This record gives sequence, structure tokens and C-alpha cells, in this order.
Amino acid sequence: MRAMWKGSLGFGLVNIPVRLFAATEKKDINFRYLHAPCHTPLKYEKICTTCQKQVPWEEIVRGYEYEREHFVVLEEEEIKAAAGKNDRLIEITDFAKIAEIDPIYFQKGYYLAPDGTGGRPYMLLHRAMREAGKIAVAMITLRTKESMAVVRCYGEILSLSTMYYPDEVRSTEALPDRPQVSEIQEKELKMALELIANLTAPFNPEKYRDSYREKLLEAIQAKVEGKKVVTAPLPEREKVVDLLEALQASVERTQAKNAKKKSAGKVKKG
Amino acid sequence: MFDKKIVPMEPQAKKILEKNSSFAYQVKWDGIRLLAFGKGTKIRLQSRSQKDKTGLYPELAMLPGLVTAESFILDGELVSLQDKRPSFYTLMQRERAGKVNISGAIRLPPVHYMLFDILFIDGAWLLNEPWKVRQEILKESVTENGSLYLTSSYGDGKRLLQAVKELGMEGVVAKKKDSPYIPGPRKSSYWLKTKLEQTLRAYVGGLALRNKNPISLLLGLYENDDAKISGLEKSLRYIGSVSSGLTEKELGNWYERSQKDSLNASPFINPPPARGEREFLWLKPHRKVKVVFNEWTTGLKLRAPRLAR
Repeated sequence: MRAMWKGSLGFGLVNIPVRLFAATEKKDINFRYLHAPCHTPLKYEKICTTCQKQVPWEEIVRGYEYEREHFVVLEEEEIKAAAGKNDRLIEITDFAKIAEIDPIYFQKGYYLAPDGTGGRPYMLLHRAMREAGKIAVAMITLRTKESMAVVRCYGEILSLSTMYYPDEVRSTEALPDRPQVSEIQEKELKMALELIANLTAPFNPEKYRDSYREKLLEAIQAKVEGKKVVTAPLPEREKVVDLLEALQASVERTQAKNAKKKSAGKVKKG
Repeated sequence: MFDKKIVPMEPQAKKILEKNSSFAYQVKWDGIRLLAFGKGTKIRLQSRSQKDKTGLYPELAMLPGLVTAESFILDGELVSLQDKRPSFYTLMQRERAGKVNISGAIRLPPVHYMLFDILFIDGAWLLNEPWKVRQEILKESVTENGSLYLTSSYGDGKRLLQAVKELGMEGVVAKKKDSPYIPGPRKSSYWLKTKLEQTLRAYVGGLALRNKNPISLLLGLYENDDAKISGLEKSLRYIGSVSSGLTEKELGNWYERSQKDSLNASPFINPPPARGEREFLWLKPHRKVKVVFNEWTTGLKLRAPRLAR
């Protein structure tokens, strides 16, 4: 596993050096677009429809579409200036109970590992949070984005989850078909509760699989093994043989030159 | 044998090119030193620093089929060609691509394994056999193909060096014909290398300034510049700065030119770090300069570059 961030976890007056690792990975199968007749992977080009030409990167700026077809241009410096302070610090601001946070806020999970001399304070924080039964609310800047995050015990280690900001979580008020308040019969409620009790089992994620991915992989594997593999025509390659021939020719040429010189020298001498 | 870690034999840097019948001369390939361990149909590739490279170069998986032995250890240099000569820079594109399968590898620069020694064959170590005996065994056991070649030996080092110079290659190694194979990392005096300066044409992507005065040019090469290799983004990689060989007047001219060709942001995908009082002025990489340098560093920068005349 490769660390994707290095910094420290600020807890009161203590700064614990830590490294951050992604806790989850996407296993979606990606396809590339090929040109059907020759199976060459497609290349994307940036074209300006006004100037009728391909646009080199040095002629590209970033614009914000504040109303349809109307843009304001932001320079790289202006964008950079707005970025979070990149101080490589996970700053713990509060401790809370995990039950207070609705799972809808959780964005992406990371593992925190102690770095260098961080082992002891890391263990201490882990132990203290476990005994207190609390999680830590913190701020972290990843690349340019400053995020709210939760640091908590995950087995023997500390994990960090970035969180959506409240205004990123859409309001349920906007939902078109909100449930209507109506009378619930005591008998029906009792039956529903019984059903839930009957179906209650320990949470076992192992029994769920991505069958779409598995079926796709099977199909791909079968094609690879059945040699139904398509490739674009090979680009022309530089040949080693050409180089070796050139080398041989060059050695022979200098040989001939030297031989000429030698015999010329002899003639003079004689 | 198959899992053994071996540091390959290293030459000392010393010119010996006079005709000397106790030495043979070979081209010094500019690439990555690689040992190939074969057993049955299995192959393992190991670098000079004993790193495993097997998954990076699937075109060498066919190696056991080209060696008439059940088990073997071969020594050679892995190269990639660009403009009809070995290019360390091009090879690094393969190294950076990491593990690939054979269908992925055909979209990347191809590699060629230039063999020059054999250490082990069918249960027998050859380290104590004289170099010329090992060469015979190597020639007899290996069939060349598009990815696998034997390195030729020459009797005259001076002529070989002249030829190598004409073709813009790296240098020549002299090998004592009756010498054993002595694994490194200590450099052996049985093998002696002569290195030539390298040249290349690089794009100027900026100027370094100190106290507002231009002091050096920032150089870059395009990655995937090769239109033949499709599907990859073209990007400019910073390869070092050059000030040696530039007059103050020339620097002044570059500075003037920079006024109309300037950019707000670095054109490099890996811009040089700002250090101390050094400031950078970014340029559209329109112009190329010819640079002479000693060799590539492992960080893919030019060592001791100067502007060619």
C-alpha cells in the first residue's frame, strides 16, 4: 500500500506524525473506446469550434459559467489562492459520539498509520478514544480541498473518513413523494416488528458480491483464453538489426580508413 | 539457483583502447542492467540493485524457448531505441509504466535484451570459466530474435569507439579474455569502460533567474512524443537546467525572447523546485537547443550538461 498523504494529527498540544492510506478501492471494470474497423484506441483532442483548430494547452484557461454561455475567467493563481491552507495537519476540533453522525455524511475512508516517532502517542490516542467511546471531528486538506473528517478506532488502528459539508447533503424537503402522515394500526406495527426480529442476523458483508463485475470478468477471461483478442495494427518499430548493421558498417569503414592511412604512410617512408 | 540474488559484474572506468590481444571490446549499451534466471519455462528478471523486474517486460517471457538449456542465468543490458540508438530516456517510460501484460506492452516503447555473459547453465556455475569460454557457451545456447540479441566482440577498441561515437552511443567496455566473472558491487579491473559524452536536443521551457538576472535555461523532453505510440497523452518532462556554455549575451537574448513567449504556469509536468533566490520564468517550449552531457541520473536528469557549439 502506498501512502497518499503525509502529515500530522494534532491532538491538544501533541502532534502525531501520520501517513494516510486509501481504505477502499473501486473495482469497476473500465472499457476503452476503440475504432470498430481497426481496433485502435481513440485519442481525445481539444478542438476550438470558433478557430477551427486543435488547441494547445498554453492557450487554455479556466472559465466559470455564471449564466448560460457567459463566463468569467479565473487565473491559476486566483484558484490557488482560494485553496485550503496546505499545512499537512489533521486538526482535531471536537470529540463526539459516533451515533450523533448520520452515515449519509461519510464520503471516503482512509487508514492512518503512525510515522516515525508517532507510535506511542498514536497508541495513546487510540486507547483513550476507545475507552471514552468517542470519535474525533477534525479538518484535513487533501490536495486543494479542505474537508471535515471523522477520526475513529477501526480495529487496532485509527481510520479517517472525509465528510460531506452540510450544504452538500441535499435537503429531503425537495423530495417529490414525501410520506404522508396517517394512522398506523397497533396490530400492523406489531406484525412488522415481529418480522424484523425474525430477520435479524449479525451483519456479514462477505455474503454480498458484485455479480455484474464477476460476470463481466468471466466473459473477458473467456475471450482472452479463446484468443478472441483484438489489437490495433502494430506501429512501425525501430529495429535493432539496423543499429547493429550500422555499427558493423561503421567499424569496417574506420578499419578501411586506417588501413589506407597505414599503407599511405608506408609509401612515403619507402 | 532460480531465486538467488546476484549483483552483476561491474567495470572500472579506465581508458584502454590500444590494441591488446588479451582484451576484447564490446559496445557499452545505455539501458538497464538485467540478469535473467531461467528454469523450465519460468523466467525471473533481476536488476543491478536486485529488484524484481519480471512483470515489467513481458516480451522476455519467451526467453526460455530461445535458450537450449533447462536452467540458466544470463547477463545483459535492456535497451529501448529512439532515433536509431539506445535511449535511456525512452526506456524509463517503460519502467514508469510498471507491470504490463503483453497486449499492454505493444503500445509502449519496445525493449531489447542485449546479452553479453552467461553465469550458469544446466546445473553448472560458469563464474570461474574464462570470459572467452563463457562467450562460446553463450553463443551456442542462445537463438537471437527481435527482442534478444548477442553483443558482438571486436579486437580493436579504438575503431569500435570511433564507430560508437559516429552512431551517438554511450561507450565501449574492454573485457579481459581469460578473466573469471566476479559479481559486484566492487568494480573489477578485468572489465574497463570508456564513456563518451552524450548529446541530445531538448526544448527550452523556461529560464531560471537570480536577482532578476537570467542564469540558466530549463530543459525538457516530450514524453510520448512519438506519434507512433497511440493512446497516450503528450507531456513535457523537466530534465535539468543548463548554464555552462552560454554567454551572458545569449542569456540576454533568451530573456528578451521570453517577453513574448512567456507562460503563466510551468509547461513541465514535473517543474523544478524553487530554491533559495532562484525564480523561474516559464516559456512556451517552441525552441530546441543541443546539449552535451555525461549521463542520465537515476532521477532522469542530465548530469553535467553544457550547451553544444
